[in-house]
Amino acid sequence: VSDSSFVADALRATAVELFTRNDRLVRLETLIDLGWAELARDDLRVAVSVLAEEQGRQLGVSRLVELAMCAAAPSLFDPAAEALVFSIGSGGLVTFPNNASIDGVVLADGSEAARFVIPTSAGATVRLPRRAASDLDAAPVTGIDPEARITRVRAAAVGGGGAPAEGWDHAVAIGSLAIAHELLGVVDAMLELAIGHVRERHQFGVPIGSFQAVQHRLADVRVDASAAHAVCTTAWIERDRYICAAARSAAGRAFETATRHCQQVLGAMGSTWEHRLHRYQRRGILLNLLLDPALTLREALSTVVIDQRRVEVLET
Amino acid sequence: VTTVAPAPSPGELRVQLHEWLAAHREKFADAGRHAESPSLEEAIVPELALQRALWDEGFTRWGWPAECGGNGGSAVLRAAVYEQLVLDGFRIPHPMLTIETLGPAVVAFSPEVTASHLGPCLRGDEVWCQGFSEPEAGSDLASLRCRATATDNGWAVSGQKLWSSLGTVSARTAMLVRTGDAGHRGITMLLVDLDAPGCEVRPIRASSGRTEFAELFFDDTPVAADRVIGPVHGGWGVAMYLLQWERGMFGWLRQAALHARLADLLAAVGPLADDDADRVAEAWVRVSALRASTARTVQRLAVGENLGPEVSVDKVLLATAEHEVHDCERRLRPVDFALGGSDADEVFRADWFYARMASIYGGAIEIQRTLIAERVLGLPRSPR
Repeated sequence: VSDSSFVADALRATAVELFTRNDRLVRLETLIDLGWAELARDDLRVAVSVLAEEQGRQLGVSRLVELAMCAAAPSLFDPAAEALVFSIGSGGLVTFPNNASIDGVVLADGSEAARFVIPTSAGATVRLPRRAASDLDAAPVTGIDPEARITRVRAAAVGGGGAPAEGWDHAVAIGSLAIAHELLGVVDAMLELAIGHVRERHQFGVPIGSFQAVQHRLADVRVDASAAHAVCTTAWIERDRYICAAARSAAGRAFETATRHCQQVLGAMGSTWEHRLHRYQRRGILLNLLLDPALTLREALSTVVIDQRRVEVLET
Repeated sequence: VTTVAPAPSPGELRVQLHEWLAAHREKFADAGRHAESPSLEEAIVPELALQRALWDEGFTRWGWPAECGGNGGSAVLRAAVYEQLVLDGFRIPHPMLTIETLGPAVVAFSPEVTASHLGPCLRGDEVWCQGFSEPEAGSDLASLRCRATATDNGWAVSGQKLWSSLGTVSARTAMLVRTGDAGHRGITMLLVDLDAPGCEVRPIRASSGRTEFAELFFDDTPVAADRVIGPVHGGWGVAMYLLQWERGMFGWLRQAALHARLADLLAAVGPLADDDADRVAEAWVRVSALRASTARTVQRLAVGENLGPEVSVDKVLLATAEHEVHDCERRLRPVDFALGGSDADEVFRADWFYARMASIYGGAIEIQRTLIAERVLGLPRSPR
């Protein structure tokens, strides 16, 4: 057993304990006190993948994605005083065009930050102008996921301002991996619910999990989850932005497959408010809007695929 | 006594191969990705020439034991060589696909056959095929009935095999035969010469138009006792070991080809509408997953791990990746696909039809999904 798997196991146990506390919110200072800086410095992969997967599995809430992004590019912003505004649903953009109005979200206790960081782009250049939170229209919204503690932020165009953001692409790549792992935690929890149900639920005198029509749906969830885990592994080797976007995309696909199939095999029980399934569906739908990989992947088609650039996966 | 240098790393071997291929590009031009004949029998000729040269130069000797002429070293080195071939614009010779399913099982279960026969197969002097499926034994492989009866100096085989890829160009088949009672405990694997008395090979033309496979008939065909691969009645274990390599290394070979296909497609069609681009991107992500997953499988098999039912994931990934890539290609080049008259268009169509079989050959994905459900996820057993 390697040092890193020992650290991972210990971290996982801590994460479960933190994310299952009553309100499931792990505040920024708690993550800092946990030794985030050292964990991230020692093994960013273990720190991000373990915490994010448990956060997903436990329906936890934190600013882990921002911490991961800042670990990748420390000069981006200061999470203790500033929170990032995430773009949602702007045609796959992860930034706000600098002449367009702002409509995005701040995650978890980021709403308490004094300043909001608004990633804006003019052409290929990304800048991170700051605005006082009090100057923006920011209000908590329940929306699809009442447990996610998101704050919707709206404002008129903020324009450019400030120097080009150093390391933005790399930060998005690592942030995408954090979201991918969180989605995979969500998928894992959904699959576990579905497996438990189809083993116990009997119809026609047999457990419904013995029907191949049911089995094959859950097998497909497992295949897509394994596929996403495999791409995440490759992405952590090279940390190339295209492979990270692929990992984020594969995790999104696994979530959509899980949402479809787990709901179906959980039947009417899984369609009640009382059942936990919809809480995972709601969380995944929200996560799947953050750091949309679509544009990066389209860009990859003209570069990484054509060049057949490779992460050497045989030597690790 | 030959002295063999210490094994290179996969990366070092890639560089050596890349340089050698660059210097011999013209000589093996007909084995190029874009020079494939629509006829499998014709396509295979330059591929075998390349296969021989790769062996003689030592590239494909890495990862095979000294007993069959190999240089030793990890099987991961083989994976590196295959991918590099594709990256440098060559086809992976068709016979190497069968080598990667049969070879590891021969090495693991029969030092005798490894020493006596595997070398010429690896060098491309002769082609081998699998003899697994039968008319009444497809997904339910353990119900196979082709029988081998013990004789004074070996076995006499009678029965039929079906869907043997490359059967029409093969010299031998590694086949599963019934030597004992019904069920998986009465099965043995034999290496059988296809020019032996009582053996007949009939080609089967696939929907692709190519003679992809053959049916093999045996009537009291004699097989020497030293042609048993693994224990007598222990053929099921050999087949299960073999199937792990078929999932892992075969999937790895195919990801290399599928990556190249996507690259060629993008180069051919130019800028894409967003929804087309998103489809291609999704296929690329799937192929990336196949690559990542099969790389891990190959690495684990190379160090002797027994992977069990988890390898079925690779097979489902392969099938879905094949379908997605080829469907993208058909969607983006509909006119070439429907009307094109060149050899390349004919191969394009043949490849699409062949890709449809990826969810059938080597164990239909319905079987894989059931294995994943029952043996990975722990669901209750379905009625059989």
